[in-house]
Amino acid sequence: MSIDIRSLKERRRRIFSLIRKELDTLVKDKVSMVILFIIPICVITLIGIGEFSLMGGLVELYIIDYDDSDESQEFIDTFKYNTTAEVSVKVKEDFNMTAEEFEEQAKEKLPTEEIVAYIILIENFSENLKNNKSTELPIFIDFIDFFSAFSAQASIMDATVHYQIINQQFESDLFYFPVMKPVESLNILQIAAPFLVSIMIFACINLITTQCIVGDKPLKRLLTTPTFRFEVIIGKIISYSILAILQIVLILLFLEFVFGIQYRCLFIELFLMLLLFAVNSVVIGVFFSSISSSRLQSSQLFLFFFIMMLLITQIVRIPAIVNFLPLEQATAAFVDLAYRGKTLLDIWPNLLNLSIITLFFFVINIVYFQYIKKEFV
Amino acid sequence: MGKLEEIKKSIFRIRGLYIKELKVLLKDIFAMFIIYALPVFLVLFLGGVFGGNGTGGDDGGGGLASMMGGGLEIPTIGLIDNDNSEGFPNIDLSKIFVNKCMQYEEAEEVEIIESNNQTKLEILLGQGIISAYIIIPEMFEYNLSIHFPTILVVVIDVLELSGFQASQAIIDVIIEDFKEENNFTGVFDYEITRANIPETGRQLFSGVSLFFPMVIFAIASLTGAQLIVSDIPKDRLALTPANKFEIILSKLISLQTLMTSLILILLILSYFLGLQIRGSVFDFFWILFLCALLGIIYGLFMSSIAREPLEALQLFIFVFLFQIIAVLFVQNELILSLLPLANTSLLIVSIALRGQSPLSEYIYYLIQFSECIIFFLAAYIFYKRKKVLL
Repeated sequence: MSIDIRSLKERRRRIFSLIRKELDTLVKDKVSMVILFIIPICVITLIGIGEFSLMGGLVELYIIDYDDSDESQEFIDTFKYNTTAEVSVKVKEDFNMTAEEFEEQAKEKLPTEEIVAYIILIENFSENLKNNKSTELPIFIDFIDFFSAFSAQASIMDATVHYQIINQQFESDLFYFPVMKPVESLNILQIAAPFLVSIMIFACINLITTQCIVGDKPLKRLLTTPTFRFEVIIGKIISYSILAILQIVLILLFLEFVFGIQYRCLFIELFLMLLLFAVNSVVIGVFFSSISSSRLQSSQLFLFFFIMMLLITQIVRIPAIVNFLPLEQATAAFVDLAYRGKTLLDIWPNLLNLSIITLFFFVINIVYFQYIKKEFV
Repeated sequence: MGKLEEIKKSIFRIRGLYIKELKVLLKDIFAMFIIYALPVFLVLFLGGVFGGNGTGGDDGGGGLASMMGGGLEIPTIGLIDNDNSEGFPNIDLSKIFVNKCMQYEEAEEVEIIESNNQTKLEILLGQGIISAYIIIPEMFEYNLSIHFPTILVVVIDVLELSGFQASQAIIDVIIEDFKEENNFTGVFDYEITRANIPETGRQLFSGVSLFFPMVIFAIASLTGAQLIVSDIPKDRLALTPANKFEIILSKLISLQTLMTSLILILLILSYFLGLQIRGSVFDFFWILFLCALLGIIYGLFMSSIAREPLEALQLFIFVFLFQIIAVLFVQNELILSLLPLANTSLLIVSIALRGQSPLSEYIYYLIQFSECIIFFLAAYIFYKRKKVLL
């Protein structure tokens, strides 16, 4: 009998039955199915139809004119009427103030949302331009909101270049107007897609999987049958991965056919890379579920890992950690495959990294569930 | 008098239920550890304790990305020198620019790939091997020598945001340095002051508006989402004089107590790691307090409509993920104003970081209070309609 239950055929049969049981349970949960597949649709649609601008919209500026000359007025007029940027300029006459009073007001307003920046036209503005062909231009930009600051800086550069062209006033200077490549990636959904797809797959699959052991009430009874513990783990990983396959296909097809995102690689390559990432999310989820003793604990572990991963990939970017995070690897691999037209062979470092992490957690899961987790004994 | 007595009894029951709820929450030591570890790690990461650019000291680079407080990677940039013109006696200005780039390479701030083939650099850019390339144009030296501006060709790959930020920042720094060293002021000698950036804790300052509400809301709503649906003895409570309003209210107060202690930990740690804000700490505390309250009420609402703990968790992912992505990528003010994460983020920027009066953003407070009332009442109604199984 013991030989029989250990035979490969029997093991395969049991694992297959476990997969069927898991999938039956998952598919019966209509709400979870709807949420699992509705989230990507909602989020992609929201971004796909929404407006997004890297430039922070209208730039509110104060120009403090101490010079009161024709040149300084012309400079102000360039900002008001002759720029390509959206700028709203206020001068001291708008408030019936002296230049000093207006500068004080600008200092007070700069930390608020009323203005993004102010420019001071110094007393010898026109004289300097006539005699030295150059003048100082003190600019104060509020950097609390960096998008607005970026926008203000670009608008000021744009207007001053226009002023120079209109007045044919030039001096030794070095400019550059960055050319963004590839041009079509200025579509927000296209820019966001690699991160968006990765984060959605990770969050949905990982969180659902965190409940697979800790929330499996009949598991204790199941382990009294001739089923090995590692078979349970394998069964769970495969069944959740099947669910992930459906989610990946839905996301990729929705992006391609509804929002026209062009992939420069074979669909199957992108799919396989994302599948590896999804399996990675599943094994990490199973790990969280194995080490937790309540549903709340496992979902909190998910939250901890998710927020830390988001923080490190988006802001802190500690080199020693960031390259080992699945989200970073999947996002980079998505960009390389879908937008740079690379093949799976070209992105082997990302795949190797994801595979090692997956294998590591898989082994940990087996060892932990087989030898360490005693709750079911 | 009878009504007063009834209120007194109700308060007494709520107090009892509150203690019971608090004990239940605190009993799960592992869950509590994660609840408190998450914000602590968040602040430590943002504060630069584990590396990155957290200390936020101005390294002289002054690029846009460093102003954001982001930890910049070393970008790889291609460089082509097409200039053969003459202008200044005894010097080769384009060579000086190339050497300036090399200086930054030696300082390990950039990696330079020199080439004379733009097609090769285009291919490298397309493959993601370089994140930008610069072409020094023909007539570079001559134009500068006759007091004329020169326009560098700069092509940047926008597919990877971190590389894009890092390359733009370093190109700005190299150009500024080159101009300053060679006294090329241009018609306008821009003296740009980057105002309102704190001297310490820059990374914390830049991350606080997004990550503090994210952590507070997530913990509050995730824990709240399990409070009703996973509460096994709640049905037995129906045998006691406690009514469902008292039960749900006590759950809200007990979790809010925990969240308040968590907010205090966040604020104290941030203060020690150098976070500087223009607004008052009390205003900052109340913004986070309201965020936590809203998170719990959202959680209770999800918990009251869910039939299974898993369903409540799935609702939580939906709400949480939707908000994160909306905050990051959506700019429609109407949509954002209805989302607690976006609302709190805006209040933190305006009131805590900018130091504006709380009254200036009263509309967002009003929206949050309204959401609190609406979702609490909805949670209560759904909870009341739930059948008790004894």
